[in-house]
Amino acid sequence: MIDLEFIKQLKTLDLLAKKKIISSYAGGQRSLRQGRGIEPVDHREYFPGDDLRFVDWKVYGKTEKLFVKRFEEEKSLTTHILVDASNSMKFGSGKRTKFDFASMLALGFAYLVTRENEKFALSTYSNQLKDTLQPKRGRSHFFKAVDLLNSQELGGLTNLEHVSEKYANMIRSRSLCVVISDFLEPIDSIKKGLFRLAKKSKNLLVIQVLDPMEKILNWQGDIKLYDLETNEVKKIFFTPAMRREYAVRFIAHLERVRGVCDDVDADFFSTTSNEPVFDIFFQITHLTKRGHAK
Amino acid sequence: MIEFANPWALYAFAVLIPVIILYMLRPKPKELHVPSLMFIVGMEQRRHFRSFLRKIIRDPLLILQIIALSLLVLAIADPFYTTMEVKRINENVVIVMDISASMQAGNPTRFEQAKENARSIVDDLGEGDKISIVLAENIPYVALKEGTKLEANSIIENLFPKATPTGIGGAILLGADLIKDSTVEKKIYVLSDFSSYEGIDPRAAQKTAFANSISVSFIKVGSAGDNVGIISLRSGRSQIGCFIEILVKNYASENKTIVANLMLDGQNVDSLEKVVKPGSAEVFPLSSQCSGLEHDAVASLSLKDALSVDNTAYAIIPAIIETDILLIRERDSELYVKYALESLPGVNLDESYPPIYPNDYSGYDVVVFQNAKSQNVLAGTFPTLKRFVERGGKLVILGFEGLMDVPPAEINGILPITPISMSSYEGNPSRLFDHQILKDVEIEDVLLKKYVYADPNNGTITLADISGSSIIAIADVGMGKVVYVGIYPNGNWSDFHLKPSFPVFWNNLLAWFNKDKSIGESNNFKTGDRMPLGVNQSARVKTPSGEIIEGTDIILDEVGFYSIEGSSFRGAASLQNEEESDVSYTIDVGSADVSEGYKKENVEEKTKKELFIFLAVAALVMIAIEWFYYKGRGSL
Repeated sequence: MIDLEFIKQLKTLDLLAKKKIISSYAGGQRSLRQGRGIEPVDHREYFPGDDLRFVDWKVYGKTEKLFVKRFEEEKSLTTHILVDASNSMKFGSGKRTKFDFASMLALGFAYLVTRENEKFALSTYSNQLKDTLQPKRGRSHFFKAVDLLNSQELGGLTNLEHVSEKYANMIRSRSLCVVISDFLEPIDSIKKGLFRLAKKSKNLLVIQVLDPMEKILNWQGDIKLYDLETNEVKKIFFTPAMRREYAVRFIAHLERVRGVCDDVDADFFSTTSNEPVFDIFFQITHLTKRGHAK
Repeated sequence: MIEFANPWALYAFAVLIPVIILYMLRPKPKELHVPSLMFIVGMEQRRHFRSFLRKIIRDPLLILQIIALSLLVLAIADPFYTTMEVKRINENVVIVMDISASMQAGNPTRFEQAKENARSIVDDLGEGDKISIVLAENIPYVALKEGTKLEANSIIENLFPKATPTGIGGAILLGADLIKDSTVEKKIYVLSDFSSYEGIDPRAAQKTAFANSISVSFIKVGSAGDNVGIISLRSGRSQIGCFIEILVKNYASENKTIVANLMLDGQNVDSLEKVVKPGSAEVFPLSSQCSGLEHDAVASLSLKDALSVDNTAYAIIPAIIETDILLIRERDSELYVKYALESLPGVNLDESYPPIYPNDYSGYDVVVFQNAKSQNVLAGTFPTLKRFVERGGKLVILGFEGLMDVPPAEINGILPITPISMSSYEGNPSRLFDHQILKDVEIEDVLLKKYVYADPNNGTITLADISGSSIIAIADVGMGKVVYVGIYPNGNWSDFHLKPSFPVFWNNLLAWFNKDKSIGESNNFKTGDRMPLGVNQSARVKTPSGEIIEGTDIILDEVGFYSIEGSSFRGAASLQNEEESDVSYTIDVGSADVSEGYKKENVEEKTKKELFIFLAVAALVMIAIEWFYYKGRGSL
């Protein structure tokens, strides 16, 4: 369940901070790309084939030469938020699940974007896209997102590769893409999914949410383990030596995910669900991009 | 059969029951949900082998603990079993090795079999045992005294059979003497073919050793074989030259056609073929013309039999020694002595007829005074002869009739006897010594009819006498020798001059005179004889095998020719032993005490074998494994 206290805390973020956050992704500096826009930048001589709508007739009247106006491209930014809603996100050794934590982070981004009057899209996924809010702006859109995440039924396996293939078609303009998941799936799937999303969006932010228990697996003795995603059952005598080996393998996987993010120039941030969510969100927004990803 | 010193400790096995129950009452595993098993599944794949084992051994920890507890309980129960083990007692062992000629028989030779047995005896001894080795030649000697196994094996390896007779009994006594004072188990092993022995009876030696608490085991090696061998040899010079006469005996059970060959100085010079019946001996006379120089004669039999060492005989035919002899006799006297001397090889004979005597006898080696009429015996004749003898000359005086008339002052100090009277008592002389002069001379067959009755003087050795009268006597005068021969060669006095022994006697006499020209009495020996060296005189002797031996007492234990460094004297040795050649015969040493080859006699006794240490160590190992297991799974 989404903690409303977190929404209140988001309001305390000052405007400068918000601007800084958004500009770090949306630009804050002029785009060098020319195209359709409102503000003219300069003129150039007309060449056949140029859109006649952009011919500056006033200049023609003074110079009897055809010049076309050149405009700065529109700077609007769409934020795409993808939240993992597979079975593995159900896991939570504390008072909240990984999905709860991931949802609050997602709403944090949605809130900030809405305050900037920018568009955001929100989707949940498992091995396929589950629920999607199309890119829109406005408060009502934000509340729809809150409802969607609150009412989300978790289930299914995770398959980012397949989901990214579907979702990439929805990214049409320059955008920020935020993927929040535990990334507990084969590294190949993660790699292909992130590559695809990075290619389509201008910026990619990858946030891994883990449960503190699954990082350590602080158990010992005879244990019957159930895989939340596959329902596979394993009987095992879990020893400290196995715990150490598990930790090594876990960290190796995490490092591989981080390596993929580096390859696609994405920011990577790994956190656990027992952390104060506002602090984590604040760290993410201040340290990612030109800052230091955790 | 396993027994337990503390069987009550086996009740402790009951402790296993609660252990097993504890394992059976283990709580159900905790059920946990995890986001993903992907890391654990990977881990499980790597541990597939261990899990496979785990399927077989459902709970290794339980099994380890059951084994460890069981081993501990068994260890406390102190199990043991009894077994019969060979008792090891320190021993002082003597190996008597027969290295006589007959040990060369067979293929492999009896000696090789004896060495094999000796090695087995040594191998069965412990490191703390002492080993002595006595070699049984005709004169036994100690090859190793209380040595180690290593030393014994080294000596055995380098032993070779000799060509001598064997003195087993003496060797046993020598061995017994070596160990009689030892405080540990004392044993003598006699390795021999027991074909013959010289000296002490082996059975008697065995009993003597037994009296000293020494057990003597006779170990017989080899089997019977057919043999033909030269058992006797005679050599010398005859009218035609050099001869060698061998006596060949056939020990086989069938007739043997034997060819004997004579080689003189390496050249085949004579050959003779004869059939020798089983168990019989035949003389093979072989001869050849030869010079007066020394010759090496080798008589050999052309055949293959069990023993080869007796198929060849060696002899040295010495060079003729030139002897200048002056015979003093009346011109009309008997000529038998003259003829006898003239018949001898190397003799240059001059005659002098009394009353004519040479002024100086120094040109002669020997002067033979046969007779002189009383009136022809001049004053100073005998004193002159005395001076000749004192300077190293040899004088033979016959007991002639006129001797009684020679003034005692004239013959004093020169004659070995004192003439008493003429005797006409008929009889045969008696031999008092087996002297070289009388060798092969049948003195007892001589009939004496008339002779000078004479008493021996001080320092005189009477070789033969009759009725207390010296008939043949010898004495040293100064550096020379004087021989008195009281048998006058006249038909009225005796028949000696008509006997075949007469020239033999003169030949022996000259040989005895000439023996100073060599260091030995003869050049030809039987193996086992000693090399004739002077008393305490050391010499370097070259053996037939080329080995140089130095010593004062050298035994001729090989067949063949020997030479002495720095001397012209040479010797030849041959086996010539009827018993050694008889390789089919076994002497009676008590069949019950003789074993065919060495067999280890093991004395077994009950020994308690405790298993406590093994079980305790095994339990500790199990506990260590358990510890490692715990450590491995991180429980520690």
